[in-house]
Amino acid sequence: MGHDPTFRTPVSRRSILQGFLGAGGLLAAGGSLAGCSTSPAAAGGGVQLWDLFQGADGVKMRGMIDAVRTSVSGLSVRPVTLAWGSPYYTKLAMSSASGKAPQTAIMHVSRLAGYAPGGLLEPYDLDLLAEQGIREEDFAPAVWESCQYEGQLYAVPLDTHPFILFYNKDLAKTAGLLGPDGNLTPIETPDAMIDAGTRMGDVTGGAGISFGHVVDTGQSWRLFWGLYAQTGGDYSMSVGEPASIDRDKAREVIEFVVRLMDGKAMAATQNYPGAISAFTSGQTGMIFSGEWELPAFAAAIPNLGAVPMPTLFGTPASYADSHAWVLPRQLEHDPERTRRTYELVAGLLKQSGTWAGAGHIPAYLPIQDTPEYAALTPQTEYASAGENPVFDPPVWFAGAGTEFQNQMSQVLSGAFTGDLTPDAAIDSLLSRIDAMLLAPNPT
Amino acid sequence: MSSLTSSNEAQAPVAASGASSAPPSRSRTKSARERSIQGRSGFWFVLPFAAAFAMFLIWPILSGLWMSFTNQSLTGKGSEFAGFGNYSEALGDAALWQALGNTVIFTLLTVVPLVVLSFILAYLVYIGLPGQWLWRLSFFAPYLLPVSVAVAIWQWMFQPDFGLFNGLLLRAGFAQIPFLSEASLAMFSVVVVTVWWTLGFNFLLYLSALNNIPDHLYEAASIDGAGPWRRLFSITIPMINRTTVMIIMLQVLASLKVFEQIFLLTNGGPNGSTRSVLQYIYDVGFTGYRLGYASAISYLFFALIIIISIVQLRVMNRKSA
Repeated sequence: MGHDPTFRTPVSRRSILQGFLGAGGLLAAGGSLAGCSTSPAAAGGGVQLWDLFQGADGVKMRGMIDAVRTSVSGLSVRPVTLAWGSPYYTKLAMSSASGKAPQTAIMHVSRLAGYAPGGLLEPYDLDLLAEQGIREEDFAPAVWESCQYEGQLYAVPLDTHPFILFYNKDLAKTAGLLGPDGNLTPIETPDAMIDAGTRMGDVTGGAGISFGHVVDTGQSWRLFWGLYAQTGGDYSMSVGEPASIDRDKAREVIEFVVRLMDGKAMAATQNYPGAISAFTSGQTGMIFSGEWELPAFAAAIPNLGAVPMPTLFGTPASYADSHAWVLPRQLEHDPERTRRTYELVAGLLKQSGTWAGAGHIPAYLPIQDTPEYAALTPQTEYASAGENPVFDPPVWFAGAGTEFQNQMSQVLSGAFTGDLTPDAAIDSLLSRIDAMLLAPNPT
Repeated sequence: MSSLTSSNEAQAPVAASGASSAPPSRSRTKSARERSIQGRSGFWFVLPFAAAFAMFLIWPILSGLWMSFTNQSLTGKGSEFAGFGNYSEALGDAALWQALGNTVIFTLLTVVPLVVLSFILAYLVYIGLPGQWLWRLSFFAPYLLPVSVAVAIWQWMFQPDFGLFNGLLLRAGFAQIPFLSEASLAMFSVVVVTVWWTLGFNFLLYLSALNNIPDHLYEAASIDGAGPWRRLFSITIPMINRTTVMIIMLQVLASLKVFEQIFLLTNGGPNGSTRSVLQYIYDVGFTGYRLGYASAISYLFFALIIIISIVQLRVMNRKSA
């Protein structure tokens, strides 16, 4: 395995064969090409960053990184963008395990419970953060809390991205759903929501509300878990014990969605891209969606409005997740490089006014007080959703892009369309959660 | 006695050297030294492939087998021996049995049309539909598409409200068909996409087999008064028997290994009704990080495929013999 893979003159048959062997040996030893490329940066103190932002988000993130590069002298950043979803977390876990991890990476805080306990992440040094001007009081308490594990900070939140209600103001006006201020009249009961959807449906001639859930791996869970939190329903999920939720309240939520999803108030059989097309083309006038679709909606609909998830069951709450910067485990620690990493993370937080343009609510509160942010509509109309976010239960198998969300969504989707009774769906949810609570934790 | 043996001994080397010096016989029998040189140079030529083969096939297979006896995680933990725990867990795993059932149903539903339909299409082209090249192109073209393109096309056609099929149904005043959202229909939709997408390969195999049937067989049969149906059943189908056997065997294996189009079209949904075994292995290993358990499932499935292949080989050999 010690053969030099480069050919020397004179090239003999044997040296070529040895070259093949040497090259193969390098591959077999696990030294990937990506691994080799980290060494020059290590010498120069460069910071490698991984994110999962594509499309409009990706453009904005690269712009922010460029801005930080110019504002912090001598900072060298090498950003790598990977595809969103479970493959991203597969790669992040593997890189942390092998010690070839980037210095910082984006992670959904909902995945923290699966990463921090297993030692795949390193906690932040609060003093170093404070040196960069990042303190606890700069964040909403619920969001800051979600980044903690066993009293230590494992993630610095960049944004909160809630699941909200977008509406087409022109269609809503025709349907008589707007108040005197030109915004949606608050919807405060399940019946009012159904009524609003039906009136919108009368205007569009089809369904009033879009909701893409068919064969989707997260949407039904987002809708359910946010509304369930509004009921104030308790739950308990801890490893090794049977899970429990408040059956009556869960049933109430499922029954409401079944009533809403009558094809008139809300479309019954839309998938994710179909729901977006229906809303942007005016076939529907409202959509339950993550705020990350804002750029696509704003490009198609001139008068776009948005509100946090309407409070239908008493307590204001919107399902949400948060993109946060984490520090994957490193084999070697270079204080200079660590300081550079903190500089980058802090710099990116201070650039998150740009990030808000893509629809996300900046987690770093000083940004929310800037006049630039105040001028952003409809972002400011739903910014309050960042104050009462509902995150996934803090168990190792939950979070964005997990099999947990996929399974929950498939069961709930079946219940919403009437394939399963609400009680059968609740049984199925609980039995699946129980199986995961009993399964060995691979992290 | 002694003179006889000595003359024999004396003759033998002469005969041997005479034989080895004669040019014609030299090419037939080689000395031990020559053979060993040839063998060694052969070894060097085979080495690059053998090294890659060992590294990328043999070693992963063995290390996968070892992994299946551990609780190896993607994050590097759990590499100690864990006995048959994974295998016993697999046998009681309802999701695995569901995935296995889905895979078997998919295989049954795809193999039949992919054999029968491709033969019918090839036969129609063979007996002379006008514009043969156009048919040949249009039956084979889908096979050239990458799976992502084939799936994207069908995804939009299956779309509710404004997809091709549902759009037409709505305009004609009928109810929509939830192609991908209903458990009972989703597998059917996956089968339709698969048949459309992969039919072309079998079609091509059949077409070349049909073109290889000697014309004189048909001529002789016509002279004997055989009609078109008799010629089809007594000449065409028996003559392409070997191709049929090969197509069925390849098709069964390909269908058991289904992954891409299901992953892209339904991601195994709704409610696990289209998840194949391979996708389950992917979900467990790469989304769920449980490489040890995923390896155990792979080995169980591997054993199953070997059994099916042996049974198939036996049955098919008997049939074609």
